[in-house]
Amino acid sequence: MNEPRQLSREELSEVVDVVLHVGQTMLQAGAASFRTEETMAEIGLGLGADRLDLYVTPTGIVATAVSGNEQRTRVGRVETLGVNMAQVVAFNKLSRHVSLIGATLPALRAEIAAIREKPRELPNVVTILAVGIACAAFAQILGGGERESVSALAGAGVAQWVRMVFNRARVNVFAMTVICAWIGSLLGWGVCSSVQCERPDLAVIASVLLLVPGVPLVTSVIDLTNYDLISGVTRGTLAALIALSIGVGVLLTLWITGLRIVP
Amino acid sequence: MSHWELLQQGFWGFIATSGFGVLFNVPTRVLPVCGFTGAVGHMWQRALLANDVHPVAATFVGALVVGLLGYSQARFFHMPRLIFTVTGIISMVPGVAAFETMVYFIRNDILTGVENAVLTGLLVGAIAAGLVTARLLLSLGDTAYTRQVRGLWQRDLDVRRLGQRDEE
Repeated sequence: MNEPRQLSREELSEVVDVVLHVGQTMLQAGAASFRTEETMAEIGLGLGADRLDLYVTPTGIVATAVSGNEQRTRVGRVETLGVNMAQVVAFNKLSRHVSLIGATLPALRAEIAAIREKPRELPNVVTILAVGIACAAFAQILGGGERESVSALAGAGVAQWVRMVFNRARVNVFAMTVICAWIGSLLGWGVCSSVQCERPDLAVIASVLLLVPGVPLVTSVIDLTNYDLISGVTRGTLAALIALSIGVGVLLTLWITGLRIVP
Repeated sequence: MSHWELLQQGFWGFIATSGFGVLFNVPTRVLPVCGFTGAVGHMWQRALLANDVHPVAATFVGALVVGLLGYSQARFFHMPRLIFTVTGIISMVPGVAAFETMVYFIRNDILTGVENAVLTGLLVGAIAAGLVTARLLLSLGDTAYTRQVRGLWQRDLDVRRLGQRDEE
């Protein structure tokens, strides 16, 4: 770790800037609030600040860095919440490195940019296929057969492709979820009808399970148990709204097809 | 439920968890580990359900197993816990029950809807309770987090904590 010394006003300003940038990226990657706070703190202290006061919520961060007689405060907004575990792991590793060995600001900025720009672990086609297969497995878990699984594979795969396209176009998350749920469930039902499967309801449900907000749900609980009430409630609300959007999309399909999901 | 059926459920649990691992962009080298965690948790839940254990209790045990396995793996691989737990519990998230709740409400079958909503809430709560219990069990005696003031990070405090840090 760097030896403590008085940072200049400009240096401290840069430290807060980098720390805030890391926090925003981590929250966008789906990290829980306390994990984000810890990573930000390790990087800030590793860069030479004596003290950091951090207040992290899923929609915004307040960060103050102190060095000797100087202190700088900044507020940053977080616009979109997604999931990217590889980024969370990379920042976790980076913060340890910085806290133990230290780093220069330009080098750290370059590292952060490299983490942000790193492509996904697997190509998009593989992701689409993996999501389709996962939903096909869910069709089996729910009690379906091979035909229901094939239908779910097709519905979920296409829904995931649409989600990726909409993500790139920065479409509103709730509108995107409604549309993906509608397309996925409709296609799941269509394939199911064409192969004459016995449980179209299972095919429809399994086709949209890729949209279930598992990460915000779990991080919401982690935040609440860490007494991060605002973060927990915010994420829980996000999860509930996404679940509602899925419901709206599937109901559109039920309305079009006349299918009944519950007795 | 026969052993063969249980193994089949474990297999599907593995596939579903690994698939969601890809979606969440989990580092490729730990994908099978995530799949294994999800499969074991799912098998516990299914085995208990097949033995007439209440779904909430079965989900709690499943999530507890995921939590215990996930936290141990996080320490072993030096990665955040979230990676193993969030993928591991995916097969237990009551997405279907939540959706059914909405359908009942829209059909104006409020009573069944409320019944379903309560069950959904309890299932989510059971997942949370399972993960939290695992965390508590594995962090017994660890006072590093309780000593510090929330949101305040100081140089000397940080140095003291680093030696005791466990994976989250």
